[in-house]
Amino acid sequence: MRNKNIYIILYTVILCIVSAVILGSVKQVLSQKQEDNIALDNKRKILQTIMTVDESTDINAIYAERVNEFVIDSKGQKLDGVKLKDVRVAKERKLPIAERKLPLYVIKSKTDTNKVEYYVFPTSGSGLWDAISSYIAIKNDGKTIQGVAFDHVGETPGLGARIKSDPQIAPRYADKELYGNDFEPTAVYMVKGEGYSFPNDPHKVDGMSGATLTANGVNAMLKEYAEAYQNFFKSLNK
Amino acid sequence: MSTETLIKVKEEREPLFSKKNRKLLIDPIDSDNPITVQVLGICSALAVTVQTVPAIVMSIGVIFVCAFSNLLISMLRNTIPPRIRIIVQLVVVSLFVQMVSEVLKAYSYDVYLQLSVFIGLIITNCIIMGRLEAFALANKPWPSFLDGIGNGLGYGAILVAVAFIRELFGMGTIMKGTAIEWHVFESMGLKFQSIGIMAMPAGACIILGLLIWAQRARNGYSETN
Repeated sequence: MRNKNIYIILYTVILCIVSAVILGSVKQVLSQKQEDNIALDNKRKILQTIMTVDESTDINAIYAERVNEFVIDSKGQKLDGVKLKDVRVAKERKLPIAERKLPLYVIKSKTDTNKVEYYVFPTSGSGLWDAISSYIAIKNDGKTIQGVAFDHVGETPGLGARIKSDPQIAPRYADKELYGNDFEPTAVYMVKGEGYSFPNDPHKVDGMSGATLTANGVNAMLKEYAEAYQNFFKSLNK
Repeated sequence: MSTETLIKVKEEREPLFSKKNRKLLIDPIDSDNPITVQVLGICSALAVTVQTVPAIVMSIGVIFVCAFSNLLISMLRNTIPPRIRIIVQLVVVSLFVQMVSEVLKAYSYDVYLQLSVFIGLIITNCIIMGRLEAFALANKPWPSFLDGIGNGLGYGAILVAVAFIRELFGMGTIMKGTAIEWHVFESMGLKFQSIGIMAMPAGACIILGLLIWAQRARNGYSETN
């Protein structure tokens, strides 16, 4: 009986339907909580670029109070009618810069809510093994970096993965300048080798020993997005 | 006829944790360990052992998946068409793995991000397929369930042991990321110098080899005997 074709086919179909129904309902029950987690994680990364975030930080409250979300194009114009949560940074990256929708988080001052203190934008690039991404916070002069938060999918633990795991990497970008004097997209360049300091060069940061290829990916990513947001930051200083 | 009744009576009288059932639970932890003795499930043992906490979560995931897929396959064992039994096993394993993944994503997002791809890879874990094929298909649900837990525990014990050593020498910490995180070397006033290879899968390979050596030397186990 168990070797009859009809039995095998029916068995497979029923097994698949039952499994699908179970998984579907599990997903349904948990999806709200999962979306909240993803949203909270993004907010945490954004706030990490401008302040220290720890367990006690009320991320949702601070975010609601200080952050405004916009989508702009590469000319620096605000795109109305496009919701930020619908923009997928990694997907936009496949388009030429001129056609991309660019998310922008405008962060207001803690004390004076009319004053803009920082601009944060997301980036996406390719590391050595897999995708890398980051949030970059720019001070309101439009070129000085306040802070960065890197993320990656599969860089080598202990080497390239340090862009996320090593708390010493991101601060190396603080107070460096993403643009030159005339807002040319000079970007910031992570050098090969480790143990340097560049107090007088606002466009160079110390590298990661053994992770030059990941650093190259980071450099290319920062340069690309410096170009994409160039017109916007330029227009701030007119 | 008489032997049949005899067997039946014997089975009904068997307590939940009879000596035989306890053996199913405890043997895989040491003398029949799936990693060190059967040398199965090495891939994830190398990959998910950089830190202790993800290793513990991974072990819990494998124990859950192994126990419940053993249970379910054993319950279905008399209905499964032999020709497609591997496919049925895969569907059942995937079902439980996906459940673990979704629950982690909802309740422990940090760990979910850290383990991401390895949770999915539990599906291909040789230990689980091995137990389904070798044990659950031929045994009753309760012993199968115990066998699943036992093998999951055996896998977890090795995983956590390797992760503990790798974290200690690769990062200088114990239980990093929890409330009891302890920076061993700093608290003893020593400067910590990370051993780079411990952060790489090659480090796990070496540690695992040493563990297998130590365990076999102690138990007197040899492949040829």
